Amino acid sequence: MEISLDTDQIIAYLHHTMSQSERTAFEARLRDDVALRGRLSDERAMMRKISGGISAELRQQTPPTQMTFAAIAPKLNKRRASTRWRENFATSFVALVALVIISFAVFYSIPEPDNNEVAPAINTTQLAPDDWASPPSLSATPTIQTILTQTVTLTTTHTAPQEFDDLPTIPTRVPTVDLSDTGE
Amino acid sequence: MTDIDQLVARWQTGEQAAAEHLYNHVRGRTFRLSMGLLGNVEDAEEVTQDALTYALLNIGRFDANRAQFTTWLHTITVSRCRDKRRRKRFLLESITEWLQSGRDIVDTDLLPEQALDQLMSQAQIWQAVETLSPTLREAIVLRYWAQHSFKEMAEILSCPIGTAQSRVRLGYKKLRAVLSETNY
Repeated sequence: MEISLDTDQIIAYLHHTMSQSERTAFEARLRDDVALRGRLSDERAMMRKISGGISAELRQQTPPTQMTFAAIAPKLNKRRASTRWRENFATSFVALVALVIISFAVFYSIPEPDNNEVAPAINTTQLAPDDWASPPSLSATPTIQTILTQTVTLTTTHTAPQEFDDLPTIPTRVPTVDLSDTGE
Repeated sequence: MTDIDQLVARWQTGEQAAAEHLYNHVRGRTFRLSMGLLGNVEDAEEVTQDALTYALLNIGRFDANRAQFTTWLHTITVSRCRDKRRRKRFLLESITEWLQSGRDIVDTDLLPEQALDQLMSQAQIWQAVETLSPTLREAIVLRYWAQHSFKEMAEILSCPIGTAQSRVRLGYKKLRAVLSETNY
């Protein structure tokens, strides 16, 4: 069936598928063209009849009596339960992962004691035996860690000379008694 | 907020009774849409139940800000109808079904002339609808019966608005041509 350009336009106009400019131009034509108005009227009637026929046909269709909510309810409950289980599992899993991440974050945020920490400068020059009575002061290092480090340093750097033969001769001070004063 | 919106909101919060109310509210309309697209009661029933089960189970995915519930439901229904048609294409239709595919003749003696005319024309229109391709049939049923806007149709049919418009125009032209041949 051949459809003229006008019919195409009428169909587009009736279905509201024209652009605004096309619509305005078509309506301007309609004002002057009586025959076109008649064709538009016929087409509109046809469209209404078709639309009405389809609606009437479908309105008559009623769902079968066995088509009820009860028929799908078991499926709904079963799948809903499985969905709920999956949701709960997903929530638990996410919570577990979050807990692990937080635990790691907390664990690594605690400052670790630095074993390479430089001990306070200590006079490491060889001490003379006389000075052994007064070792260097450790008062600047209050923590146990530092004290231990210093202890290690002291024991390794302030050891007594290995060869005792090399020890400097300690002058023996023998008190002298001036016997001349005794008058003897 | 419409009744449907309220029922959807209640069902989304997990109120069991709302699911049944919602089902009963949309059951008839969904069935008629399936009938309009498939033209077979058994298929329409199966598709409707399937579409409603899916919609109720996946109510969490429905976003009221994006679309109306009926548009969303019709999208699911159209998709299920397409699946059904695809599956059926591979199945052989029984001869009995083929023989019964013609419409039952109404007892004309019992009906007033006007009503008969209306019924006959309605039957002719429906027969014309059944000659449409699935794509054009979807467009015609969604526009003429469900009265969706072209924007909604584009969403439901997953196509551009222009395509939805041209499908309706083409469908109408085809119906018009078929009805003209039968001296409608």
